[in-house]
Amino acid sequence: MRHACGVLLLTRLTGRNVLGPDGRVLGRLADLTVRLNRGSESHLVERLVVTRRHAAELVLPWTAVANFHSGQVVLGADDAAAHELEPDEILLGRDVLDTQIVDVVGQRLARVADVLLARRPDSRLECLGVEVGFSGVLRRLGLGRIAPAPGEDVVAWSDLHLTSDRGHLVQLATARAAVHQLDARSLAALVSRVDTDAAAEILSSREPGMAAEAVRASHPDVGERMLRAMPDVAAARIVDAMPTEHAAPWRQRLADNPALFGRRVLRSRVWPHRRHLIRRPPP
Amino acid sequence: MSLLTGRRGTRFAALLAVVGPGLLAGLSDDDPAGITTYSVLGADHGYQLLWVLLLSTVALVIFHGLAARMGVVTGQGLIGLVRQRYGVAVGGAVLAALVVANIGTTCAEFAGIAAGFEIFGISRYISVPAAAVIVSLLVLRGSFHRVERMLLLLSTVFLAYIVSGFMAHPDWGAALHGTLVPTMPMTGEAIAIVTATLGTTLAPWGLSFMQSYAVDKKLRIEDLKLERIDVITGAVLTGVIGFFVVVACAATLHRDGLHIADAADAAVALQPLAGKAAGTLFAVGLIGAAFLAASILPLSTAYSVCEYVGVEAAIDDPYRDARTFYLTYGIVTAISATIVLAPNAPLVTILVGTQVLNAVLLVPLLLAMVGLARDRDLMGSFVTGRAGTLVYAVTTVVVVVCVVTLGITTLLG
Repeated sequence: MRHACGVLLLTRLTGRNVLGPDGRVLGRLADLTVRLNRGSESHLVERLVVTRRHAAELVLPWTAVANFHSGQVVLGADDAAAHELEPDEILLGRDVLDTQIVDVVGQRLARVADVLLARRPDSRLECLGVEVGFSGVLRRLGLGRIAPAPGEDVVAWSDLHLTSDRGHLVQLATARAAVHQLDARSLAALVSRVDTDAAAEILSSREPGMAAEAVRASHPDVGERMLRAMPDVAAARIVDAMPTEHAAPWRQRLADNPALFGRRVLRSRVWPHRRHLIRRPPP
Repeated sequence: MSLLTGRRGTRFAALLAVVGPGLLAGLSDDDPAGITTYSVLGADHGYQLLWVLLLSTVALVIFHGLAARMGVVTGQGLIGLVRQRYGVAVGGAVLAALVVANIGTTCAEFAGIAAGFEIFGISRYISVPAAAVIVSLLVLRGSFHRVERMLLLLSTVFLAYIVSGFMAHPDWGAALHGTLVPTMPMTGEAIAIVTATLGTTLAPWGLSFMQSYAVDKKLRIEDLKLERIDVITGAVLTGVIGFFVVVACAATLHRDGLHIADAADAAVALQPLAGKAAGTLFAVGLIGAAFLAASILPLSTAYSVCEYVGVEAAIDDPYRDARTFYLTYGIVTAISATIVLAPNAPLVTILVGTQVLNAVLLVPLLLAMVGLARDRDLMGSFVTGRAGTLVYAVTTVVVVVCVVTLGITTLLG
């Protein structure tokens, strides 16, 4: 079902019947995949996952879809693709919908209520972003009358970091993902909103100089929490990349016994107070 | 030399830093409803059914341990995970039932506070509003650590039951025998109290609190071993306190053939039998237990609502950043306190209905937890294998049988 504002919603696509070239119902559309590391700027839907009764699920390339206008997905060919996900491929239903994301611009942790897609002139589906907030939930519960139209609270793909296991790892491995484009202060805002281990992985994925700046831009408790969660060598590399006058106090801080007092610090400020609002540099 | 020379620290200090979720989730199960169940168990059946507490302790260890593990591994609370894994419809239904059940249970806690203070001649119109304000201020004004310390401090009130148990001069040999040798009088009453003890040990709000609180505490995977100690300690202490409540009632009320309807009755009845101090300690324990649970229940509800809505919040957040969290906490507290104080409110119906709703809700929640624990996408290398699934399945079946039996015995009167 195409929405009035021209946006397609993942939750309205999934569950549709998928028909083969002969018009026979093959199963239901269960999920869509996108690859995050493709050359183009946009994230196109690559494959569809079709569940079938009493048979294994089918994974088909999106190019096999002839049309999906009338509440159904009709295939032009039903040649199944490989089941394995590519290293940079994620499932929109499993790895994005209803999971938590970090909005790196709005600096908040939010849960995805729907995934917004748009149809391109070449019939490919493009992933625009995600809708967060409660209105999307109300719509999915059938209470759409009391919910605003989709688009009220949307986070663009380029501005989000996925926290689901696979989403996080794929984005870390994707050079053009938001996590690799952020400056030090934005990076500090991101790592303060994900769990400690994910934050440590994000810092480790950036070069030590940038990671050191992000640590310095973070609340000291958050910086300490992340550095302690890293292997000693990685933490030492980041501290070494700091200016001398900052590196010395950090070495001292990390050398203090964290077993009791330090660990208390590690647990605090789970979602930090909004004292460190970031102003994006003017373009 | 390593940069992080102090990383290992002392093991005991590290344990102290991790302790909290298991202790609080476990001990809050010994709320007035729990103490009433234990009191009736001891007053009506003496030491004979003490073995039931061993079983309920095992069930607590198994499922609270699972909740802690899921929270630490996924970084999400139970209701958030249910929405992620099973969708908004299932998540919404579970949340709605949980909120209603939690409000009803919070009513039971405030009713416990009212009954406890009335033993000391303090009107419920003073004690209940005061308690509501105190528990609200505790969470609204306190940081995570201050709240945790206050709740753990409050938990020490359970020592009153242990002292009270000793003062009743029980027959320790009979108590040990009753704990280790299961025997069962095949009467409707005995079956009802055994199933009530087992079926109500695991509470839906306790499970969701355990997981959300472990997330809020920012526990990490490397903390899991120590967190297991916390969970086991909390569950064992819960059982030990239940043991002393049963023992105190068995050594006095059962010996003299007295029957009681609730824990406040037990506190009053204990005074002439075990001394005024024992009865007073019992009443103090009841009030403390109700305070602890009345703090934790709205907290558990607030975590769950925020997880579902998608605006996860934490105790450390200021009000302006976590309005949904604090408003939920305040609304649950206010509604519950108001119901308890309303002159014509059908309190007994609400409490019985709540118990039924908690029992019914527990079944899908346990099944959802087992499903989540077996989901490799969520749990990664901590996914539950076949052996673990068998343990959870057997425990779930035992709890379900208890819940169904309790329902049948309640319906048949």
